[in-house]
Amino acid sequence: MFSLGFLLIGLFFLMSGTLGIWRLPDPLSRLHAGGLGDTLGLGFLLLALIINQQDIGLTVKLIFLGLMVIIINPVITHLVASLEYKNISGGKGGSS
Amino acid sequence: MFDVAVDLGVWLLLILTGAVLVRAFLGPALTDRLLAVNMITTKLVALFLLLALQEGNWVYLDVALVFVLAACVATVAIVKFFQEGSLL
Repeated sequence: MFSLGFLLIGLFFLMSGTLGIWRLPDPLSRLHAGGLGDTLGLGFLLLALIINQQDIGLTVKLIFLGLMVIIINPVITHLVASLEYKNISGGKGGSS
Repeated sequence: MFDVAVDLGVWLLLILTGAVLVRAFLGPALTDRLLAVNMITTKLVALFLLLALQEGNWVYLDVALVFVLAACVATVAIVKFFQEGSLL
């Protein structure tokens, strides 16, 4: 029952990220909506799968995948945001 | 109940991936396209996980792990190319 709830919450966050990338006005706010919504939605989906199955090896693998996504996805969002900031501010600024 | 939710989730994720793909095709700025490609990666990983749960075949999990790493390297390479002018 908990896994069903977490699955629905994860699908809701993935859907709201897609809605944000379609409806928000400027590129930086679209970046905010897309990056945060996707990371949180996939995290809840992985939590639902961890609760739903019993094998310990699969649990370790799912936790590893979750950690990898939680580290990689904000880093990529930060890199794309620094590229956008460099474009806005005319060639200077933006952390590497 | 949970199986019905997983089936509906697979269809919902396919529709969302199509919507983000259209956004990547006609996004006005460069960062919109980069973000849309990154979101397609995340949604496909979620789709792989739900397919693994639906078919009871957990080899999709290894596919998802490799897919996340490959897409990460690809996006970092594209950002580096557009920030510094070349890859090396």
